[in-house]
Amino acid sequence: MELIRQDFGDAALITVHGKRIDAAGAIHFKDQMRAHIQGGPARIILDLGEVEFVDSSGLGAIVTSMKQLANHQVLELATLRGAVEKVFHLTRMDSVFTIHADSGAAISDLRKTG
Amino acid sequence: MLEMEHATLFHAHFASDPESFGQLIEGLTQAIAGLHPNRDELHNLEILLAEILNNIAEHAYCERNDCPIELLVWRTNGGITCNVIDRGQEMPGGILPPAQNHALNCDRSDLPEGGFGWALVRTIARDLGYERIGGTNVLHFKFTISYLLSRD
Repeated sequence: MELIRQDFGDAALITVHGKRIDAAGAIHFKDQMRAHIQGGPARIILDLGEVEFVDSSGLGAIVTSMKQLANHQVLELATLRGAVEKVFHLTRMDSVFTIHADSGAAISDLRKTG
Repeated sequence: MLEMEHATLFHAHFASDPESFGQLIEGLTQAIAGLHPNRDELHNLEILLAEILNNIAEHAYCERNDCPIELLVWRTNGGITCNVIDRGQEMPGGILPPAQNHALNCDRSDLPEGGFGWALVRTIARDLGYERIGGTNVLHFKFTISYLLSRD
């Protein structure tokens, strides 16, 4: 799993390249996210469009990343598909994050603000 | 608990290696394709089994990846019945862990980073039960397949 970051002014789009964020990859994910978040821009959008499955460990890793933000930073999500969207819905974590329906909309939003 | 009136759909013995669980769940998905589960149900079943199997690997077997797990799946009224059997440590207190209902309208720093697993299992599974039989843990549950509800 690799996280690729593109910067748009005061925002960053981080795309997860990998099919699963699960117990096996949760620590790797958290380490990469921490590196992007520390000293990163105010808005960070995490694109999960390639991710087919997030288990409870992966969900915990995403929440951990959110808690590592500085006070002026926000973490938003984009492109939750299938079982990933289900996990966020069933745990009600979809009420905690701003979720963009697709990364295209998130990016154009970034360009407007960034 | 067991409903034996229908045929076994799936029976697998496998090791407690989380890397192999995806393939196992894929095998079960293929085995029940003839019951016409919808996409939503397949997602739920994948989430449910992944959480149950991860819990066995992590807690019952203390992250050892070479211990035996058995999965038995029967066709029962309106869906399937699953038994997941392992030879690891007993559930704490001999009972299923409770679902933790976190308050999510809290400060960012107070959000839960774990405890989602059993909430997912309890939300998705029907008639969830657990028994310690001899040296084995037997977790059993039913799973509804809407296509079958109107036909059984």
